[in-house]
Amino acid sequence: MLWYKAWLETRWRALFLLTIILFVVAQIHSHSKTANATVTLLHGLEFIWIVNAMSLAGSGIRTDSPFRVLKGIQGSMYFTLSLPMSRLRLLATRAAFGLFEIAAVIIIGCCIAGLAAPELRAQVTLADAIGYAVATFLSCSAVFGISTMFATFLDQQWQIFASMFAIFGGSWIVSQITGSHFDLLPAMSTASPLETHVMPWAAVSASVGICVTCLLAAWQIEKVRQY
Amino acid sequence: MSDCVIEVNALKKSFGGRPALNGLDLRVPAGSIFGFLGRNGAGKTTTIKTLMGMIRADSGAVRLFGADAGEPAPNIAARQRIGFVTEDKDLYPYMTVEQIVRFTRPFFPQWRDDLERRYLKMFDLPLKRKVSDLSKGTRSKLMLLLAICHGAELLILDEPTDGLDPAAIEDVLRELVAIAASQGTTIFFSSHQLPEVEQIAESICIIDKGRAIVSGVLDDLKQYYQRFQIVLEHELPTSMRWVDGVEHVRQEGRTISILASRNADAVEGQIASLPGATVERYPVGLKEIFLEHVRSDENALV
Repeated sequence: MLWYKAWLETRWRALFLLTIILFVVAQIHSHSKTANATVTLLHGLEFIWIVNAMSLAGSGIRTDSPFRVLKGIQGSMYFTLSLPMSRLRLLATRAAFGLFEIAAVIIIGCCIAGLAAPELRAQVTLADAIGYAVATFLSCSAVFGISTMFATFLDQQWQIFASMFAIFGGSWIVSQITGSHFDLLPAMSTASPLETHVMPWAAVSASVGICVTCLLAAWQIEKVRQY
Repeated sequence: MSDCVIEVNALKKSFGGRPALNGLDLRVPAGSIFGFLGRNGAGKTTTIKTLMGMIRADSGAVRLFGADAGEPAPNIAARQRIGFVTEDKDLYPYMTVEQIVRFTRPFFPQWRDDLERRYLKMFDLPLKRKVSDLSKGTRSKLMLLLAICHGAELLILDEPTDGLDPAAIEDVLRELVAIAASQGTTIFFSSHQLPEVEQIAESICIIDKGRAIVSGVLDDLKQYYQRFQIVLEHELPTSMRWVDGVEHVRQEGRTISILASRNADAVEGQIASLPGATVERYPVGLKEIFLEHVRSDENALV
C-alpha cells in the first residue's frame, strides 16, 4: 500500500511534467524545419528531465504534498512512522516508485515525441531512441539520488535549492577549478546516443554510482534521523 | 516475565542541550488504563515518540511487551501490536476516509472488520470525504478507528479527545473502557483533561521536567493523599520538621494548608500536637494532586 500512497502523492506532478514535455515536443515540431530536431530535443528536454527527477524524488519518507500545500502534511509523517515497518522499507518503496515514475515519464515522453514529430522518426533510429531513453533514465537516477538524499534532512524548498546547487553549481565549480567544461550528466547532452550513436557507458555508470551512493547515504541518515 | 506492557527505566533525552526527559521511570501494567499527565513541555510527547521509535533516547531503557524497544527491529515488532493516536491527529490530507482505512488495513493482519463497521457507524465517519475536509474532532475519531480496528494490545493515545464535543468525548471514553474490559487492551493515554483521566484511568503518572513525580494506582493515590487545613492560634515554630509524607505546606497568615501523600494519620497527629491548632482533613482529587506537584507556589514552606 505504500506504492498506492506514493502514487497519490506524485501522480499530478508526473502528469504536469508530461504536459510540459508535450509542449516542448510541439516546439520541436514547429522548429524542426529550420533546425536540427534532435539537437532541439536534447536542449529542450534535458532541463525538464532533471526537474522531473528532482520533483519525483519527493520528500523521502515524509508525506508529500500532492498538488498544493495542505494542512496536516507535516503531522501525518507521525502516522506513517507509527506503522509497523522499517524506515528502510519506507525509503526503498518511495525510491523504487520514484524511479519507476521517472522511467515511465521518459518512455511516454519519448513515445509522444516520436509520434508527434515525424521529423524525429526520420532522423533517429529505434536503437538510438531506446539508447537515449535508457541513458536519460540512468542519468536522471543520479539527480533522483541526490534529491532523495537531501530530502532526508531538508525541507522541500531547501531540498530543491540544494539539489539544483549540487547539480548545476557543482558542475560550474568543477569547470572553474579544472578550467574545462564539466558536465555532470553528459549522457543526456553531448554524449547522448542521439549524438554519438553509442551508449555512453562510462557516463551512465557514474550516474548510477552517484544514485546508489546517495540512496545509501539517505538510508544511513534515515537510520539515525529523529522525528 | 514482567506483567508490564510498557517499562521505561532512567530514560534521558536532550534536545540541543536542553533536557526533555531527565531519568524518567514508568511502568504500565498489562490491561490497565493508564493516564499520563504533565504540563506542556513536561516530556509527555517525547516519551511517546521514544516508545514509538521516532526518537532515540540518550540513555536508559525502553521495553514494550517485555522486549527491548530501543532498537528499530523489536520496535517495529512492537508497533504491530500498538494502536497510536498522534497529538495533532494529522493523517494524509489527500486521502478520503475510505482510502485511509484501505491503506492502513494491510499493515495489520489482525484487522477487525466488525470493529471497522461498528466504529464507522458509531463515529458517523463520511467515507467519501477527504481527510483535509474533516474537523479535528472527526480526525480524532478516524485515528481512533484506525488504532482500535487492528486488534491492538496496547493503545498509545496522545490527547485522544482533543477537539471532540462533550457527547463524543463521553462516547470515546466509554468505548475505551469497554475495549480495555472486553479485550484486555492496555490503554496508555496522555491528556490535559483531568476529569477525563479521573473518570477512566486506573493508574496514572504525573511527569514534570522530564521526571515522574507521582505514579501509582489512582484509587490508592486518592486514598493516601490528604489535605489538612489548619488554623493556628500561635506562630508556627520556625524549627518545625514535618513527618514523612508531607509533600507541600503552604501558609497564609495563621492558616496552613498541608498536602500529605502518605502517613496521613501521623501527619494529623503531628498537627494535633501543635498548641491551639484546629484541623480539618479533606480527601484530595486528581486535579489537586496534579496542581500541587506541578505548580510553583510562592507561599510554599515545603
